Amino acid sequence: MRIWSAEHIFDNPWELVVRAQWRKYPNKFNQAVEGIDVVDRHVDSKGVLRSHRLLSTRWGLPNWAIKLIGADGVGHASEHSQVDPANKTMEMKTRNITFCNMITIDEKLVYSPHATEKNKTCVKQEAVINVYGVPLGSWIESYVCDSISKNASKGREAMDHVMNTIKQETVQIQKGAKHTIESMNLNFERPNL
Amino acid sequence: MQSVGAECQELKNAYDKCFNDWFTNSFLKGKKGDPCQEIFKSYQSCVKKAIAEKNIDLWEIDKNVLGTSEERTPPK
Repeated sequence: MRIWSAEHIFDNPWELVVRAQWRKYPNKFNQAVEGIDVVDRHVDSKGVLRSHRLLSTRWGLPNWAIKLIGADGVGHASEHSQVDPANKTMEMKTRNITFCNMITIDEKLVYSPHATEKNKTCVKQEAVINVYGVPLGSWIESYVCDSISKNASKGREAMDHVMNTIKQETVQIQKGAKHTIESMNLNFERPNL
Repeated sequence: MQSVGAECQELKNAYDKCFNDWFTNSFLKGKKGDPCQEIFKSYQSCVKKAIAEKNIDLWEIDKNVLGTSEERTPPK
């Protein structure tokens, strides 16, 4: 078993971070995730948004390791998440489905506002990797652990990129609205005589 | 972003757009109501069918089998 954990602070408020989280893929920084589907989603009696998504991913293992466990390179994972807008927390738990009797990768992400700086957001990440009954299992565990660690920084770059895109969209919408209002004013100033 | 079922792609795109608007403009602002429900139902049934056709054990891994009759026991 290998356990990996990390913390990171985003320079954006919680609301923007959680919006970006839903729009994280596709991105040029991390192309391992090829497909996402929402399978179940509802707001519970406490106002918490609960979602269950299916992720289709490419395994980050070298070819010989893929042959060893018999994977064809595409795998699926199950992700359960909760967004609590009242307490401002978002929690996501992901587990692989493909080859889960040989290797399990459990990832957990928690986004919450920074304790003292209101325009910042903390993310806590954790991954637990277990490989069972496969030769060189322990080597595969550390390989997967290393790639999760490397992918985490790509994931943060992707999040920053999506947040910038959302900010630009907001500016565009505001510009568009301003333009519409201005052209309306113009029309008022120049009535058709 | 791809859907697991190619036939669900259009529904997925429409639903994702609806969801992102709702999440930003209603859910995070504490407003009630969900305008995406209808499209979600169509998208959900399409995806569930695709998951079944591809034999993806999406719900199997969430089960807690330990201590239940589904727990595997060693041969006697």
